[in-house]
Amino acid sequence: MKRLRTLGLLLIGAITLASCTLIPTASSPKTSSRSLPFGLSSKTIPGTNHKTLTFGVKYLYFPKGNHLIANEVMVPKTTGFNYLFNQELAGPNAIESRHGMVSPLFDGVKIASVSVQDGIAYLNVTKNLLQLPLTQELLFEGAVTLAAYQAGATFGVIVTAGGTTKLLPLPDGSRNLLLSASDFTSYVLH
Amino acid sequence: MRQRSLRFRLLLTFGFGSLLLSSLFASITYIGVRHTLDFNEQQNDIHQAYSNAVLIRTTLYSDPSLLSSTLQEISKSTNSTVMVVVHGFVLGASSGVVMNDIPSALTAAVTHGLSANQTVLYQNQVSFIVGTPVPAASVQIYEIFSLDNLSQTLRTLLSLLTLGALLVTLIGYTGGVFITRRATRPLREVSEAAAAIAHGEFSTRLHVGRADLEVQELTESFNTMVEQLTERIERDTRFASDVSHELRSPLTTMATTAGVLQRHRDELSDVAQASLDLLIADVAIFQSLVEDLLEMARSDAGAIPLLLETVPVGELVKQSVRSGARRHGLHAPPVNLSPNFGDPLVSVDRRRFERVITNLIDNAHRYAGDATAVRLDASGDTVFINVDDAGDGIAPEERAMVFQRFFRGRAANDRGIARGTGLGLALVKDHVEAFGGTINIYESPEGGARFQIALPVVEAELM
Repeated sequence: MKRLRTLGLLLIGAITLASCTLIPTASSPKTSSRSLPFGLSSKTIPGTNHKTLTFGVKYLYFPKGNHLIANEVMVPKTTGFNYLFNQELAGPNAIESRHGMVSPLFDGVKIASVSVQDGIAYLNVTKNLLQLPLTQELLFEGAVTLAAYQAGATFGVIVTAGGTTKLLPLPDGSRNLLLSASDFTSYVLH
Repeated sequence: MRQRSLRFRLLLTFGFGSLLLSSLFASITYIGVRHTLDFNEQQNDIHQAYSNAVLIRTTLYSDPSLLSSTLQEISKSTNSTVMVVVHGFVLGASSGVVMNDIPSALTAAVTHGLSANQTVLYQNQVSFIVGTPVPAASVQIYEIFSLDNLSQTLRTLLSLLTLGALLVTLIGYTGGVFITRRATRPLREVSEAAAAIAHGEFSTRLHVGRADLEVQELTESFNTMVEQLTERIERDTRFASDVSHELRSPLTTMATTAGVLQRHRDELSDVAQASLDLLIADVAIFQSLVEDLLEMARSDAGAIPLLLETVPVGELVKQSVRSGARRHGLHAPPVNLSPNFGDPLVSVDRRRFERVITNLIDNAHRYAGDATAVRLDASGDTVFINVDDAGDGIAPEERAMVFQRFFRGRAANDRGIARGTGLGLALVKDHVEAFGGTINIYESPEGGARFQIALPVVEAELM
């Protein structure tokens, strides 16, 4: 009888103690292998002709010091030039900024328009590009040329500054109208 | 070991029982409600996460560039944090969430195509994470829902239940006080009545009143028992009184006859003289026994009125010692008054008081080599009359018993010559208590026994 009473008291104590927490956290996740609603478990996207979405690895390039840092990004394979190139123009994200990377659009340089034709990207930028120090101008050219290459402009970039197409400086000291990704590979740090 | 009182145990049971039951009830209620609320919240969050996953999948398929704004919209409308992961890279997130914020076991499960969820601490808040695999888009979506509102609700509930449990405990304890008082009152009354009866108040009865059935039965049984006991005592008393009375006349005749024979003892042979001496001694003892029995029986029956007078105790004791000693042919011990004794008054029945003093002196004469002194002392409102003897004293274990009827102590058994009735000291105690006093036995300064009578001092009566 005494043992039963002790057990009873212990049980009540345990229940009382169990009720002392608000919401208990879990040490391991609860999983479910059941089919998810809304066709989420489907291998293809519902409402399409068995379409799927796949991603590929691409790179964005942001200046850091006198170099360009290549940053991996996952990009849907169905996306066009603008999806990736706009991310380049948007600048580094918070993590990349914490690592010292900056936007390639130095000191008020703005992109007025972008178009792609026959593998060449045409960039219309404000004329203050020409007033940048040479290093920053080269970093800008490298970042947009390399990003354009990743986005699909495989033949290069032609830049129009302040309404005039210019021969722009290259890392080797020469000038050229068509900027090619290979011209700037020496700037890239992975 | 002295047991705790029934009332204390009942109160403890009520208080502790109330506390236990209310705690148990509150705990079970809280656990049940918490489980229900938590389960419902989780189900809602899971459902919401699935809906959001569909929206994200559609966005990714139709226009991936809108992913960031879509995530912001979801975050704003559902008060959650969303992160879209593809091949281990964060494709987009609504706020500063990073991969390390998601438990590795959860990401492993989701990467393997299982939907998973877990309650974790995220930014010091209890949060619920739902991981949803979206195989059609090759992404995993993690949505973190804050459970802060639920925590707040549960905190309020816990406070209310704790307060409720304390209130119930208080009510239970108060009820316990009321019930135990009601339940133990009859026991207390029975105890008091039994104590009163033990002190000779045979008219004591319990009142039935509006008590419960069990208490009524107890009361009736108790009263019946007391009535039967009283009747039996009265019958016994009457019997003792009748027997004593009937024995008195033949005893008187025997004593008178023995007196006549004593006057002519010279004419008797030696053997007849010896027989006459024995007869006279035994008749005297027998007469004394009958007198004591008769007085005791009358006293028990209330047949002798108690005639209380307020008298100066010093003079009263001196007179009683003188007359008692003379009447019984005993040595009168000196009466000593302590310095500053004054002239205090006591309220006693003179005849009975004299009997008390006589019996004490007679007792000392029979068993303790006579009384050495009668000493009077006063302290506060009490007068002490000490009758000291020259004996060996009375053993502490015998002191309470010598006032019992027919008790014969070691001294009485050791001394063949001391043949008392065994009623003298019992009568002394009865009479002293009738005066409102007490009698106790101590050791006298000379080493013998000291019978100490304590009587309350009274004020002089105004004429």
